[in-house]
Amino acid sequence: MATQPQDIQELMRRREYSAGFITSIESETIAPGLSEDVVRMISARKQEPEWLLDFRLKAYRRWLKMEQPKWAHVHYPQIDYQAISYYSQPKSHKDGPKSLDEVDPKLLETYKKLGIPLKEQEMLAGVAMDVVFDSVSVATTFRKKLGEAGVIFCSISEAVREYPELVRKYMGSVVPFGDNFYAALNSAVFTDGSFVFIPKGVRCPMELSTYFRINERNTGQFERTLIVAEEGAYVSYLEGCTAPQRDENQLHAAVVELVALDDAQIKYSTVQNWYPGDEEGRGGIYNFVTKRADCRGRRSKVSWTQVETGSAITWKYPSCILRGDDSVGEFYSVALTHHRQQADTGTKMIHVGKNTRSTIVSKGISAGHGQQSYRGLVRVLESAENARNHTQCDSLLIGDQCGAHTFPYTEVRNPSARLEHEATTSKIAEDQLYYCRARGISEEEAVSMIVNGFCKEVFKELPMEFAVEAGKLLAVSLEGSVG
Amino acid sequence: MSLAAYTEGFEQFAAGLPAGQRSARREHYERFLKAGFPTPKIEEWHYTDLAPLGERRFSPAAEGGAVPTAALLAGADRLVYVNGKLDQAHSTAAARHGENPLLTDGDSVTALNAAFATGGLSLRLSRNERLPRPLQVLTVGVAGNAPAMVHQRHRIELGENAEATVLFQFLGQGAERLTSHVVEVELAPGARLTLYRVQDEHADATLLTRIDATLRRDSRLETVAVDCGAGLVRHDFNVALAEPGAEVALAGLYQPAPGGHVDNQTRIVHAAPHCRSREQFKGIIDAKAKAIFVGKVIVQPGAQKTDSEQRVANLLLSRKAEVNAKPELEIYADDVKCAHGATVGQLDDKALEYLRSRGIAADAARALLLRAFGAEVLDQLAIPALRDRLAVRMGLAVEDIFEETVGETAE
Amino acid sequence: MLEVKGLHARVEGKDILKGLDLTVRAGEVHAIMGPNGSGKSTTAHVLAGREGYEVTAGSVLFDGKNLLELEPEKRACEGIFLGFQYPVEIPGVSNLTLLKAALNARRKYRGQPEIEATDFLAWVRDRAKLVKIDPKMLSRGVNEGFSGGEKKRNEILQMLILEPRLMILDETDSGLDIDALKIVADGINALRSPERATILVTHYQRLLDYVQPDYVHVLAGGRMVRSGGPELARELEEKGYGWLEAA
Repeated sequence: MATQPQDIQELMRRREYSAGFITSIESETIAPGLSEDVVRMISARKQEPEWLLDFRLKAYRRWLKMEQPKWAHVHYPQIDYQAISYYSQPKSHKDGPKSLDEVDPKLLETYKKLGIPLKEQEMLAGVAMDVVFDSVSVATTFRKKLGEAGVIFCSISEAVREYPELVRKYMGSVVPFGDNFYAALNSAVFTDGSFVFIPKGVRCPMELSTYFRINERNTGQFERTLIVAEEGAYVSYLEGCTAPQRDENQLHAAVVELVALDDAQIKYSTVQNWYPGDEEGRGGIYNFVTKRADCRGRRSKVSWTQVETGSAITWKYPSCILRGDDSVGEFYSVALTHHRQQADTGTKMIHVGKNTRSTIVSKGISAGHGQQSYRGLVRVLESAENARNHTQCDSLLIGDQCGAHTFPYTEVRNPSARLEHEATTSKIAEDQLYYCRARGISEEEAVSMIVNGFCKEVFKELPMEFAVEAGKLLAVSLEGSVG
Repeated sequence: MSLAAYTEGFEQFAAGLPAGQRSARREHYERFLKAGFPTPKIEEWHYTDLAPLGERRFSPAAEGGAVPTAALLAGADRLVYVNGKLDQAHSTAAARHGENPLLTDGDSVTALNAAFATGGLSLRLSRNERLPRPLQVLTVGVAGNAPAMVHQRHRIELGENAEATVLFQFLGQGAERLTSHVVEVELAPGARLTLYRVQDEHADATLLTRIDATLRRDSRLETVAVDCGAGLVRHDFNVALAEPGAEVALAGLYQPAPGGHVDNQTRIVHAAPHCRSREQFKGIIDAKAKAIFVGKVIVQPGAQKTDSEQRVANLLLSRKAEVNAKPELEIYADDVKCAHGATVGQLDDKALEYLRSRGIAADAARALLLRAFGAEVLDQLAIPALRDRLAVRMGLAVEDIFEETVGETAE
Repeated sequence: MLEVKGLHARVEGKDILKGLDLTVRAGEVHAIMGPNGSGKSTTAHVLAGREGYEVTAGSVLFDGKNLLELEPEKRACEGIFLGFQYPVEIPGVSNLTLLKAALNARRKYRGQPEIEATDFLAWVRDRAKLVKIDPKMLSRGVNEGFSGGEKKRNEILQMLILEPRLMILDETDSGLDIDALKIVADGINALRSPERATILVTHYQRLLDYVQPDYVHVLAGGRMVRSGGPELARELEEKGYGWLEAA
């Protein structure tokens, strides 16, 4: 009973991007284009202090001299940076909601569609959330409870106003304004994002979470997230991303900076489901993100866990600089490319301190015409006595039109280091599918089961409720991939 | 970058060529001039910077010199080149020398080679022909009056089911030199080639080699590459598995001498279904040495049932040493079995302890373990005289170790 | 229950089945024997619906339904179970996950609610005892790292849990030592009932000492060349298959 080509076409049509709706909300969006004036205007609108305007302008001037990176294994037309609007905010937001009750009900409806009922979340799930819609942060739940613990969780704009010294001390200290092309662009025009500060000795009493959504046409989203965990602090943070279905490509260039001091631990999880474009590759988000953690403190630990199923193009390498002695960096990733999606993703582990350890587990799944690359760097500096790394990098192929690539860089300058790298590539075998079907399981479910089994090592690193969500997301993203 | 000195050298070289060849050579040279020497900005040259060569002044090597007769292998046919010149007296297979076509195009280094190349091995075996003995191609670089350049082109063409064993040996002595060798290999269906590449360059030398092999149906290429010199060395090994059933096995052992820099780049393209590739590289990096291994396996669309495995293991033994490894996979077909593994580590402490507890001195125990590590590759070299000589040269000879051990434990 | 008439099937361009007839009624055990390459496994896979097995003529009715129109998973949900000659390994997917998905697919097909997690585990544990499989093994990947005998026992375990109506066992006995063979036979006998039927595809008579068949068929050249009672199996064991081909 071969699945015939027309069945596949049917499945393709059935495959809907469930987050692909557009919310009609009156928005205030500035005209497309980028100049020093635009940078000044963004800063002025946000009533920013002089030092931050300086930071933006320096970044902008540096960006003008930089070139878009070409080394990644992805192909896309030249981006016209003058055709993008760099600021958009829902109009009703102007005065800023004081509480969730004041948030535009249509916005709340949007989040409901996304499966994030804020109120319910507040009451039941125990997850505190910040929501960034296009460019501005619209609601932060659970402030009170967090405040009692001394945890600061707010939008980065608010943090600039309320905690300028903290922001000034840490912003740009992990990802400098001129770090790379996209980071420089972000530093110049970032509009919002989340700020988290966990003071010394505090274990954040709940999971923190941010949902990002791009809604307006022709807008870019440039959010900036900064998380600081002081000595002995712990936080688990999750971000989710969606965007409406649109024919044109939209740009998302975020920067995430994490700072972990002595004995601090940060767990950062991402479920990225930006609109991937249609099966012909029309539309979809360009996701060019710089994420880096600075394990400054001794015995500090940062874990990146990511499930990347969306975006037309993903360019992303969540990294750890293991500066503190005995610090630990982890990277667990599942990336899926289907249709015409392209992903070049991986991590960098820079071992600086003594006895630093890193673990990398990367699972890539390619279907349709998807192209997927793992790109990773493990660098052991001369100072990193007894550094250890283990890398496991597996690819699963579904169909003969896709590609899976592995580019692991290993650079070692200390003779006490031990590094291991293993990579395999395999396909879902027809006999595996037949075996499941002979037990009564449908082909789609069998694929989803096998893929979930392939990703198990990564899913177990996600907070429980998101692990389930991630599994479902994979199943939806793979619909129509077998035949 | 000023390449004026090279242009001067080229004009001088071109003047000595038959008129009909000049324009083709000039085209190659122009390509080199346009691209210049590769810098780390080019991904393939991330770890080896040749830009400083641009500032040097090399001229095409004028004269030959003495042959280190100890390097001549008994039991093998020989072609001997000194500074790129055929040494008739020591060559027993001079008939295998010849001018070769300048087919291989590629990066600027290949263009430079094509502009200046002189002849080299020109081995053509017809259907079912078999070389009775290994063929040693010994190239020796010796000090001349001025920094010299040597560029050679070699070609191996095996007809259907033909068989041969060829050894390329690059030895260097004396002063500053720039040497490049390009070897083109064509294997017809069913042909078998065993290729050895041994490098022992001098500290002041730069050696650039490139082997491009195309394998037809069911042909097989086996290679063992050994590096133990101190120079700046870059090897490119490109293999195209062009038709079903072709197989390649690359093995390598690199142990750069103090100050040495060895950059091994392999690139295997699976262009047809049912081909097999194996790579096993081992590195011992000590005392101020730098080693690079970048292995790329590309599985093209339609190359189903590809079976590919790549292993690279490095021992990093000194604080002044550096190792970089990058085993890459690029896969565009789905029914494939591809794996790679890379490690960087040290000698096993537990094994060392164990050996010492049995009365073996620390140094000897260390040497024994190194020998075991290197032997996996070295033992694949099926010319015993050469293998043993290399083992001694690299401090991996078992006999030496035991003599020392006995000596030390007797105290 | 099962009615196969004039079945012709082709695999990779080769005609394997050339007019196969077989009628199986509820409560019966049929053994299909025959030399290698006679089409025994092909018959099993055509009944289970394997892709690439092309039926060129004939019909297969299961409880009056045209089986050939159904996808493999629908056939399984209808109550057909194929015990594989070479059970497939699926790394990362645990046996429990597979079993639960299979059980629930069947229940959904029949309009029943999904099984409760605790009931499911209790049921699996109970059944695992019958085939002497350590329940801990079931948390491992499907057949991953199982020995040949363990894989076959695992097939029987799946069958015991899913409780099919028509069991087709494709050389489940091959490669088993006598103890494992007995366990497998016990499993098959445990499911024997007036509502169920069994087709044993086998090369050897050995299994039939433990699972008494009602009918024995000899398949050669893609069709049944002889049918009879249990005594036919013994005859084959003594004389081999050569005399059939000569006839």
